[in-house]
Amino acid sequence: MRNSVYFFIFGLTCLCLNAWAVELVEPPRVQVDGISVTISWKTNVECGTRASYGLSPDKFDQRIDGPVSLLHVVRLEKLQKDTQYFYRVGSAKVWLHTGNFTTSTETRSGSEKVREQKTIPSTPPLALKSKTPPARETWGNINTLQDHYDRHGQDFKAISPEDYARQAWEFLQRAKTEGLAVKQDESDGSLRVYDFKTRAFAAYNRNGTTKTYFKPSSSDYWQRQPGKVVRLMPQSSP
Amino acid sequence: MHSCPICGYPKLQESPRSISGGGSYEICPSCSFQFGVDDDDKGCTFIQWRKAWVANGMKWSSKGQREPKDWDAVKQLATVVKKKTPAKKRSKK
Repeated sequence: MRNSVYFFIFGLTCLCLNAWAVELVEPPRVQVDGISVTISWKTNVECGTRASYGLSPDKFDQRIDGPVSLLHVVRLEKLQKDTQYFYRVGSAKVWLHTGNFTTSTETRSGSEKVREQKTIPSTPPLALKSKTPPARETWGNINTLQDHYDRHGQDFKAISPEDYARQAWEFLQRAKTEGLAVKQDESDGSLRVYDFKTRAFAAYNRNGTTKTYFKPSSSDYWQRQPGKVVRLMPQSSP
Repeated sequence: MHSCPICGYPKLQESPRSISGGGSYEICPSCSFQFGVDDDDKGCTFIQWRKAWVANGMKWSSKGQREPKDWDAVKQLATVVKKKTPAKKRSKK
């Protein structure tokens, strides 16, 4: 009986220490995009992802959970226009930060628009187009390209399998240069990339060749994808 | 090589699911099911897809990969669909 009590106290202490050990590395980053908001934050140790939000600081009645990670990203969607929201982020065990944001009617704020113009070209630069390797080099299994194009080519208005493969390859380059959401599957080294703005999704083999590229129809598809959230560097190869 | 859990096609390049549970995104050239997409995104079950494929005549679906000369849809399907065996009747003593 006495041993059981000691064991219980020890376990409780470990649990508390574990929760207290989690700290923010830097303040959360909040990106307002009209009635959608992306909140990202980093922790010093891997922990679960949880965010809750609501219309008053004492009522966080909406919740989003995510995977265990160092870099945490949640996307709040279908919010009310021009409305102040209060949010808190942390893990299932502990809240790490509380803040607020205000949605807008425009899809992007002025400052973000300027930044977007600098970093996100509406069409791929000509130089990038000319550098794009042929599909036989960028597509994982060239025999499957036709089927993927038949299935998903229209998602991107691709005019041919080659054009579809090119867009998929450029999407990976954008993930590196623009910091799109990326998850790495540690079981096979594959990468999954998602663009919250266009809702485009792609998966790549360990060597960077494309597995597929499409636009999921389910809103929480990205959240359900396995893998560790990582950030690709512009010069890195997957 | 891996088998398609829907139609039994025996030459998938990857396992339909990785160890982590993620889809392979491979499109079965036989029944056209895309693992990680038709199930995770569209919500189709293997049974639903199989029924639809059978109802449509079990045709070779891929346009990019040619139908193998010795391809037998019925034979491969039998590898994943267990035949229903009638329950044994208890004999009265």
